Amino acid sequence: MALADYLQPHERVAAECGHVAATNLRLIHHVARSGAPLFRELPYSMVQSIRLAQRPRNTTVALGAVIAVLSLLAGVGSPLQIGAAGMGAAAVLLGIVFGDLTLVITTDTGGEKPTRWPLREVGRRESQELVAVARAAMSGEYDFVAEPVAAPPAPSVVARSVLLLPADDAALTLAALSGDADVLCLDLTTLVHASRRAEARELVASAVAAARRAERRVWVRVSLDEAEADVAACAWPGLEAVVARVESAEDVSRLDSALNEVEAERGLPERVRIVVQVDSAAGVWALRETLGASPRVSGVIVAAHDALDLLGRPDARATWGTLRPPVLPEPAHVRGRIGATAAEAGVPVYASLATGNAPGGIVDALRYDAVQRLAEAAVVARAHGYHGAVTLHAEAIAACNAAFPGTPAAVAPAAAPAPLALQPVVPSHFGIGVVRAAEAPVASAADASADGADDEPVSPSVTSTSAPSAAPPTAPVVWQPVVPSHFGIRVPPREPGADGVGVEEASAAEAPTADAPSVDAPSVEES
Amino acid sequence: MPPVRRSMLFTPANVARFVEGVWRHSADVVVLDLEDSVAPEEKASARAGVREAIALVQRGGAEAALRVNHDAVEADCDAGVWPGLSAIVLPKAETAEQVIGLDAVLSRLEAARGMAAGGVEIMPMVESAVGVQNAHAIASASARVRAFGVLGEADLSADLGTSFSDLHEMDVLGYARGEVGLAARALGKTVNGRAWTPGRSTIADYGDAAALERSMRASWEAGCRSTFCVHPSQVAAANRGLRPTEADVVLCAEAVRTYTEAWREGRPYGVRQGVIIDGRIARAALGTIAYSLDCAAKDAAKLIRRREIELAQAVADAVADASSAEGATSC
Repeated sequence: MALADYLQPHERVAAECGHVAATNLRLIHHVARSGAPLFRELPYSMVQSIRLAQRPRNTTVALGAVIAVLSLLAGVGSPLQIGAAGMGAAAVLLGIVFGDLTLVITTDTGGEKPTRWPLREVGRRESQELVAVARAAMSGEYDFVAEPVAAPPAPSVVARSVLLLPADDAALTLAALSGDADVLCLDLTTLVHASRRAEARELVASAVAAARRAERRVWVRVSLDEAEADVAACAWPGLEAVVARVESAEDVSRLDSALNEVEAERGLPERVRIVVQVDSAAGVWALRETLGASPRVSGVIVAAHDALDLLGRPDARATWGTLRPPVLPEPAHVRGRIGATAAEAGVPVYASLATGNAPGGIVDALRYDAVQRLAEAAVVARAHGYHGAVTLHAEAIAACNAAFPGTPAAVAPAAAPAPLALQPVVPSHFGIGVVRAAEAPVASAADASADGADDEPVSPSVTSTSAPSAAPPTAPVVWQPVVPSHFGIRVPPREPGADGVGVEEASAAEAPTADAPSVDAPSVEES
Repeated sequence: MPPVRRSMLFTPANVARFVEGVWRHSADVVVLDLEDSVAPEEKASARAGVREAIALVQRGGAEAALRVNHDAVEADCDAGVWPGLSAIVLPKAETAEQVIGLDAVLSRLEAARGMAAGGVEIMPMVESAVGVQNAHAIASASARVRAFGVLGEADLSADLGTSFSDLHEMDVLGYARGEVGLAARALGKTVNGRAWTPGRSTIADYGDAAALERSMRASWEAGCRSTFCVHPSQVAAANRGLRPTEADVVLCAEAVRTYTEAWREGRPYGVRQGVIIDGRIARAALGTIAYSLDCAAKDAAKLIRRREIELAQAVADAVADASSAEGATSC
């Protein structure tokens, strides 16, 4: 059994998108269970990357060289000598091309050299298994190098920043229309007092129309309990998606049929999409079914700040009080699970960048650094594979736009960064990358003398053959075992000006918007 | 609101001294153990004593539970399912069928022995990779499973090949813990078990009081309501740590007030110190307040029982003294 068989298909896909926590932990447990001594002895919290490299077979090479040299020294002439020299040369070649496979393990213990595990020492069965997998990968039979991700997210529905605002506040909506958020999300649910819901439904139709005139993308968050009424209120030309908190496939079906009805009645030009909001353990568990329940589903919002049952303390936000709420509050295992499932379905995942703060509360003296924290959170979310973020805070929009890679519409197509999905990650072996001797001369030639040579990134030639042609030639995908949190979470190469910019540059990104009418943080007093 | 079961103390069912004295440790639940604490040749004699032990361990106000052997469930239940028993702890739970089988056994015994149907809970312990993979199925197999999430850390480590001794330093069971906890939450069960914290605070290691304290706090913060214990120091730490603090209760009360005031004024949520308090949070805060009251009530009940027992003991001693003195004078 190949090690890859331990992984579920969606986990295999997910690891390519950087959602590795759950995948790797699960794999390690399974492999450990299979009794492979190799993995059992690894202090795996220290491991940064594991990959296979080929080393020349020293004895074969040396023997071949000696035969060739001796036969040449003996003088040229007889066919026997030529034959012997040829055989010697052939042995040298064979020794190099069919070299021994070695596992090269890089740990984060600082300046130490990477550990090498000659595969013949790990036991016959495991080594055969690994070698078979590696050989298959080298010959291209095996699909774990850059397996294409199922249906990449449709570009039109990826959003770097989604500004959430109550639908019953017309002034706020008007102000937001001139802001920088990729998407405005008008809320008909928790941000609207029950007594104003009818009014909000009336306002939302004109807001959708206004957004359309202003060429702004607009989503509406609807309540599942009153799905039909909410959908009827907002599904007008210009609406890109409805957002709803769902916990099961039935929830999605309900929205789907409500949308079907309204679309048929009004003859809408484009199909309204569904973005699901996950904020409960049940929602996380059922995500695979909910994402498959309708072709309209085109995104997942992880509203972890609201996921009280995931956060442990049911009253989490009530007792945050003077505490700092976590940057990305969802547990790593849950993040991995959601990322895996969404990647399998090919839909983008949005973090929810709320410090728990109310709009307006962000400039509270206790939280003077909240904007900076939101910016950091956006960068962290990006590193964890999120495609964008939803936030209540207009102040965080610039940071989101800077941190996330963005839509093709927002950046020139030629400069579009290679999506995370195209990383030559090897999910099934928690980061075993295969260095092909023929294509990585640095690794194979210098191998015998310099241990550090194997730390070279996989040569771009490997990745450019495996990455789709859409990947820009100027941005070769390279291995970057960055990772504070170990286990091959890789940050893709950053193209200054094309890819996202760092936190430091966030302020620069804000500058052009300074003269535009800035969207005031909605305050509770206003609403 | 789940019953208050912060500490569940294992007691070997075959050691009379322990069974008689365990009430003094103030555990919320005493788990009579027929499994790992009992040698194979003593299982039969241990079973014989369970019925009496159930009453003995409850004297201090604790509930009684019974840990059965996963390969002798029927015999163990037959010996131990008597009025007064609250729960069966099912170790090495791996499949839904195991739980369904136990459910049937319990239903039969409850009917035969005049106990309320469905009254005995099942508490599965996940101790193997198979159990982790089937977590959702195990937890949803029976309505008797009302709390879930306990890992048998030592056995699970052995099964997974992870190092139990390194659990002090790194959370080698992170995936299993996450999966089991997620299943429990997804099904709306009470979450039991322990969050991971660095330091000597595993079930087998209770020497470091500070680490134990930290572990219990972290577990409460992570939503765990209950943990198994093997030592009185763990019981004390769990009873103190697995409950809302007074500060929590104050904050929750303020949150509830903030929300109700906002709602009355027509705002969809209130704001306190810059933090949104909406209806969900306010309801959860109310739940926390109620749970803290339950914990206080449980502690008070245990204290009253303890005083009663001590008083009865003092009276008995005095009577004994008096009668012996009387005997001495009459001689």
